[in-house]
Amino acid sequence: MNRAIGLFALALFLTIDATAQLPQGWRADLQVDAQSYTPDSLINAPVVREKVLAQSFFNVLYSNEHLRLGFRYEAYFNPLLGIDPRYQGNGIPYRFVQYLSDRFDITVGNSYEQFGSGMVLRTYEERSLGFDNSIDGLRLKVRPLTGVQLTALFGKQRAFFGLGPGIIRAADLDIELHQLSLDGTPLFDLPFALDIGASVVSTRSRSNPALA
Amino acid sequence: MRPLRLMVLTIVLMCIAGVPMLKAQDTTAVQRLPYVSLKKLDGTPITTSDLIANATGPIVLDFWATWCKPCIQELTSLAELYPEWHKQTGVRIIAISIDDARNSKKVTPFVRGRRWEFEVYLDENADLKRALNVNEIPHTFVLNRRGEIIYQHKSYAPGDEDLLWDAIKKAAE
Repeated sequence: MNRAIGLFALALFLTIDATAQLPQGWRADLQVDAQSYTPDSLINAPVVREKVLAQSFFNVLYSNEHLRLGFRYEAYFNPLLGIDPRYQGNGIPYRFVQYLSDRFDITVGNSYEQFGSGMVLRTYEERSLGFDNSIDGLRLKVRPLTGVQLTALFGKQRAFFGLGPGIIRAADLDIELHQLSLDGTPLFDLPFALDIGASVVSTRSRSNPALA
Repeated sequence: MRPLRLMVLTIVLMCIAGVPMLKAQDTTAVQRLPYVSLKKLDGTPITTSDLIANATGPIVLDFWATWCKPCIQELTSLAELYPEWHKQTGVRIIAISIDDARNSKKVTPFVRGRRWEFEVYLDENADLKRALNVNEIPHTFVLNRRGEIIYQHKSYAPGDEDLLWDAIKKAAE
């Protein structure tokens, strides 16, 4: 019977997503992921000393045609098994204000960005993996012509509840030749999609002599 | 008998834990779509406001990716049901691909190869995904013609279409 119990690994999962009714343009949601673990020697399951591990995320977002702003409060008491223990703690690691128009997109605070295929620069959040490397700083996007976008940003990357030591400065030019048009007149009549892009990224960090 | 009692207690606890999870997934919370810019398959931008403007019936928003097998199972099933559902309720199914810029070029041939007739848009930088707090896919939302989110559901198992159809009919009222 003990063997049967041993095979019956207990992992109690509780996930709550809740949303609230708010005035026009506002959105808020709360997510709580909690798990309780039981030792299982047969599968060498890691022993968790806490009775419950829980991670919570509370998002607030306002958005309209030209303005977006929001923040995310995160609490890891304590991080779930498999999530990096350096997340231990709580805080507001993500907050931003963004102005949008046809030609400009300016973000102050945290932003996520990918240049081209992401080989040179990619920042994203994958909560289930405990990954978030948003850049805290300033990002500017300019679209002088339809099909042309210039992106420039600088800032520091998120590292758990702090920031990494390196200052990142990056720029990207993306030209979609099949979309390129002037005053609504296409410049090329291509039967296929053709994108041309170029990116440059620099990092500077005093803690790393190679990057200083 | 103590281990047996422990096992029974475990099952009861898991069931109790599952109830709020199911309730939370199907909660009817009236919220609107946040304002976010997406891309059409040809790369031209489109906003969420444009997506739902002048809606005459319910809208299903389905987050998926080319690498997500359950998503493809769900969308394949919805593609079969779509003509009939659209005829009865005027529902529009909108599939939002969260493939990043590296994979998003695969989306158009992927969709054409399967002859999906519903609309497909790209959320390459996960802006809408993040704004709607979507973590795992597939994640489906049902909106009424006023653009209010009246139902959402995570994951996919065969038969979930029935729940979705109930929500669509409710949204069409």
